[in-house]
Amino acid sequence: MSTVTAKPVRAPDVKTFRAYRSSRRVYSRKQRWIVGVLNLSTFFVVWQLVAVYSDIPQLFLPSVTDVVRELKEMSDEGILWGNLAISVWIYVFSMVISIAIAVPLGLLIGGVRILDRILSTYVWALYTTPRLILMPLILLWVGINDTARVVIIVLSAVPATLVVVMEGVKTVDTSLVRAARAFGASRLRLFRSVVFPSTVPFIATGIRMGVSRGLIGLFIGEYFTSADGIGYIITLAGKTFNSARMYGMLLIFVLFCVALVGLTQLLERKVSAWRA
Amino acid sequence: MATAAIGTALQPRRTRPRWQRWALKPLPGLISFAGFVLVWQSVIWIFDPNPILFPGPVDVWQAFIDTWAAGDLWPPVIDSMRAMFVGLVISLVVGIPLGLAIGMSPTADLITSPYLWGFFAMPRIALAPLLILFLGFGFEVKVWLVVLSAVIPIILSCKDGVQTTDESLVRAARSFGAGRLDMFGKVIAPNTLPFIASGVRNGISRGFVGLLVIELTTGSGGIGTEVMQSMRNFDTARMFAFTGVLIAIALILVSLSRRLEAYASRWREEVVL
Repeated sequence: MSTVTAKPVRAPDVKTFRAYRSSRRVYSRKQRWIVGVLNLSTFFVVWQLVAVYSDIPQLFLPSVTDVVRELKEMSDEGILWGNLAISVWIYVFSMVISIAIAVPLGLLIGGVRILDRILSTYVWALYTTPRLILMPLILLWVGINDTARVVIIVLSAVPATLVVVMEGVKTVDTSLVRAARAFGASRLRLFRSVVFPSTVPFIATGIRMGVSRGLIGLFIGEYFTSADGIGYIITLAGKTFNSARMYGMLLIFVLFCVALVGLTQLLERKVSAWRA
Repeated sequence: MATAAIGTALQPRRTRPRWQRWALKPLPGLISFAGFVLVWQSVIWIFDPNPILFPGPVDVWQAFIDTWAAGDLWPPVIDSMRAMFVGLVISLVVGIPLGLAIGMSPTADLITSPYLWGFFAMPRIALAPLLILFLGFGFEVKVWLVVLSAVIPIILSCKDGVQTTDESLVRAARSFGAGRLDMFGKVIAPNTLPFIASGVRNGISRGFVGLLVIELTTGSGGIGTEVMQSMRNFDTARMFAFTGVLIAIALILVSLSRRLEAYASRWREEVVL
């Protein structure tokens, strides 16, 4: 993370500037879309051809049409949407809790020196150890139920967000702080008008990291504990050798993750647009 | 008041002699660890919980010593580390050249980006059931999941490293007549090194998670399997001991890779978080 500096001056014309600056080939937006669509359709066509005409057994590589048929069947039986809804609901619920914990706590730890001294070691330790290690402990204490799923998602997401917010607070320009103090800002006012606004981009980054860590937590939770949800269906399909169903659910899970991560990245870019 | 604040801000910090700094460096960590153990022990003293649910530090230490004495400690550790090491080497050998190539060619970037993107956004451990289906339970599954988890961050940060090379440096090198090889060796590679190092750091921590998933769920040997087995036998103290070993290994791996990263990027102003 670079230090936060305001850069009001911009290149006069971004487009020509870029064209002049870059000696690399640059694809236009339209070209990107066309190539992307072609690319993905080629992928599925090749997959279908390989699955149908090669010797790879169907167990390992079901054809695209099989996968689509399986998905449709699951949708008709009501397995697909019900489980998807459960996973999404648990994920959203846990992420709201995580953000509600991580952002205020991060601001607090980053802003109060004594708390930083005492707690930051633990925060970093929790951040660096894979939280998956704690899964057996959670199973032991919480049991095998939905709460365990929420706990593992929260434990996965909170440290990632917390660390970024905490460090973000420390990057607040000290000259701004000194200026505010010289004009007689109270502690609360200082926080509201100086510290918080310059931490907002970090909060967005933290949330993005929390979202992707939370997805890992979601999958782990469903893999270990639950009797429903996307992760459970994928695991069960693997255990019962229903590979078409597994591939189909994996594709849906990928779409879900890409959509979420893409959205949070968009948010991050929006919020930190004023940073250089 | 304002001048006083500025004055203190500008004052040089008191520095200690080198050996003292070196000796004092782990001190805050040690103090907070001691505090943690103390809190843990006092919870045991005050609430006196069932040791099957929540053993005290003494029990855990005892279990650790017993396991060590029985010779059960090192084999699983070595087992896990071997899978981790093999997986990491494969991901480095595959990931770095691939990342550099994708970074050098905008067309390759355009074509690979949807797949890399999908892999990046999805937790790679979701592929665990698929790998188990392909390979059964055992060493190969662990290695493959480590590779899958580690290779994506390595590819992505190598790619970023090449793509963020300062364009003016490239142009300067070109106008001085640098060939493709010179350009790569003298401009792009040094700039990419810190990115490779941070990719390796990310790869190590992701790979470790992949390793753990397989070990915890399939009983394919290693520390994770020991943790799960101790839990099933209600030998919670032993489970805590192995969990502690895991945490220690994770912390050592991460701090080593952080040091590597700091070393590779010491010419840059700051390390990207």
